Amino acid sequence: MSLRCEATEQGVLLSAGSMELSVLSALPEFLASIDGSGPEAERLHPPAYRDDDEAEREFQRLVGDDLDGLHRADATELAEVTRRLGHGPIELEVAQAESLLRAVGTARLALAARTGLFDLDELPETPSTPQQTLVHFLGVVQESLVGALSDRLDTPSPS
Amino acid sequence: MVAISPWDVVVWNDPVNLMSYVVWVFRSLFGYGEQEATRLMLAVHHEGRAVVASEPREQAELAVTRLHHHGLWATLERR
Repeated sequence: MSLRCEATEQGVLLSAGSMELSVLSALPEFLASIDGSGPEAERLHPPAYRDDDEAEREFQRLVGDDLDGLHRADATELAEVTRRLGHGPIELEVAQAESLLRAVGTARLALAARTGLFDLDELPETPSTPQQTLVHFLGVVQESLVGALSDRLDTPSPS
Repeated sequence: MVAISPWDVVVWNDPVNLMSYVVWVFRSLFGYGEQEATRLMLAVHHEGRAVVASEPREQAELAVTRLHHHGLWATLERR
């Protein structure tokens, strides 16, 4: 695994090997393939009101499209980051790194939902299928980004 | 002055999201320190749910939308 995420003064320094880059580059297309139906869509649009159908309908009417737009924006950022990564290590602003983190997380959740993996405990220590391997890999990418972004949260801002 | 009833923002356990990621989301969205964010994450993990904020309804809906954007299961309920 040659993915590296490191907190910097400006944001996050990111580098990836060719295998990791190849996988990450395929994610925008996967995310674009998620339509409004199926277990992935259900997982990415959870209800806000558990016991009030009318309030839930109103909530989805008001924010449903916004949430799709936010996911698309993250996927667009992911595509741009992977394009730049193809030329070597890059430094991301915090907002870009956060967008990347969300896009990777969304892909991981969608893939898990699509393949019926609803509990990480069901994932064997050594993944045995391509889908399990991908879910595991995306988790490693997330942990790396979370580590770098958390380092920034722990670093006091200059006064 | 009319009191505005707060609504609770509830995060539900989701066995696919990473614990470290959930802690980061709580810190990033709500400004919690590491300790409190971890306590809330463990409450979600062990008890199935945790209240992460209490806000007037409109702000609670915004918080839930932001949590959904980050891939967490979240709802709001009247206090």
